[in-house]
This record gives sequence, structure tokens and C-alpha cells, in this order.
Amino acid sequence: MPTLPFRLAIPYRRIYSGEPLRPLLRVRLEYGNTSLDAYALVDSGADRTTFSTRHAAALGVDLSAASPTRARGVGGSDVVFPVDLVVTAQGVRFAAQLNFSPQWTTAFGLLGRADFFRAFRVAFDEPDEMLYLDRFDEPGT
Amino acid sequence: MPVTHRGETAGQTVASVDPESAADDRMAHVGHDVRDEELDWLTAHGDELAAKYAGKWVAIDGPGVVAVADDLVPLLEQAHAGGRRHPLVTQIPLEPIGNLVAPAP
Repeated sequence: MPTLPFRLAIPYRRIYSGEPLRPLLRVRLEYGNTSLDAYALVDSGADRTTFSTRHAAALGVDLSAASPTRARGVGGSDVVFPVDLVVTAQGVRFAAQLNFSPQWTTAFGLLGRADFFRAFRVAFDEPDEMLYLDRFDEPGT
Repeated sequence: MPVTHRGETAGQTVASVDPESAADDRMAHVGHDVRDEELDWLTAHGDELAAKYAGKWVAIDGPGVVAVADDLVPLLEQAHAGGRRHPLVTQIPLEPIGNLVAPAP
């Protein structure tokens, strides 16, 4: 059984009363010369990192130039707009093809497996409500 | 095809360190976050903001709110006009999201 190193131990956060503790991180989204800082949920159930189309508008993304595709979730399927940009999380910048969704209206994004989970090795410790991360390309040996 | 302005592969690290964050140093200090002052502040003051700004978008820079608006675009315009280049932005929910089940997608 391999033992994997993790150099980052980040407690889950609860921002509002009535919400559970969640693995949340601050992220920066960059598109061309425009950027914004938001926070996002580390979500192993999301294939791709997803933010709302409001975030796309704020970044100056022209969604009419994107080819919409369909994504499926618990509530069925709906149109999303895939767009290539750059994400920074925990000081690591990585390329990502985000899904911008008109249906995902929550102010925080979802960090998905195709990009965030390829930039970081990720472990969830639910009993202790801790998120463990390590840069995937530089294991902390 | 997706909108493309860079040629990187998804997940590929395009720069090792954010100049504002000294990530490599941070990697050696388990539990200490990168530029998390604003997220820490939001976590500590979320209920106050919910009582005051439910439904609004807010920009947080350092320990406090620096802009409030009805939507994200005007919020960023306000923040940038005030010299705040990288505030943490979020919309204060109308009610807690107690049970998150992702819709499509």
C-alpha cells in the first residue's frame, strides 16, 4: 500500500450558520488580462471545474463564441459553456477548461477532477473535517 | 470547440508560484493558507453579512467589505475604481445552503 505525502492540511470551513463544514478554497480565475478571486468547493463529484455564467461575464468571456455542451447532474442535464482559462489555487496556477453554467447560480464554484485534481493530490478526511493537498508534480517527499 | 486563448492542457501547471503568495514557502507550513485573510474574515463574519447583505454581491479586501452591488460586474467595477485589484468576491445567499446537491451540471 503506497503512502502519499500531503504538505497542506486545510480545515473545512463553515461560512454561514446552518451550513455544514465544507472543503473550500480561495481561487483566482484568469481570462486574458482579467481576473477575479472567488472561493470554491473541492468536489470530487464534479468532472470539471464549474462556475456560474455571472463569473464568465465578469471575466469578459464571450459565451456566444463558446460551443455549448450538455452536462448531467442530479437534477438532469443542462447546457454549459466550456472555456479555457487559468486557475490559481494555493499559489499553484494551472490551466483548466471550466464549465460556465447558467444553472449553477451559487456564488462559489466547484473544483473538479479534470483540472484541480490533476494539479493537486487530494484527500478528504471527513471525520476530522480536513482537506489534505499536495502539488501533484512535486510530491512532498 | 471551447473558447481558447491559451494552449495548455487542463490541469497542467503553467507557473509554479503565484507571486503574491509564495506558495512553496506555504507548502512547508501545514495549515497556513495562501492569501486566506479574506476567506478567514468571511468565515468569521458570514452571519453578520447574511443579516445585512442577503442577496447582494460583496467584495472583501483585508478585514472588511470594500464594495457592495446587485451583481458581480458592477461590484468589480466599484472595487477596481477604489484601487482594489483582487478582492474576494461572493454573493451573500438569501438562506443557508444546508444540503448541497449539485444540479446539472
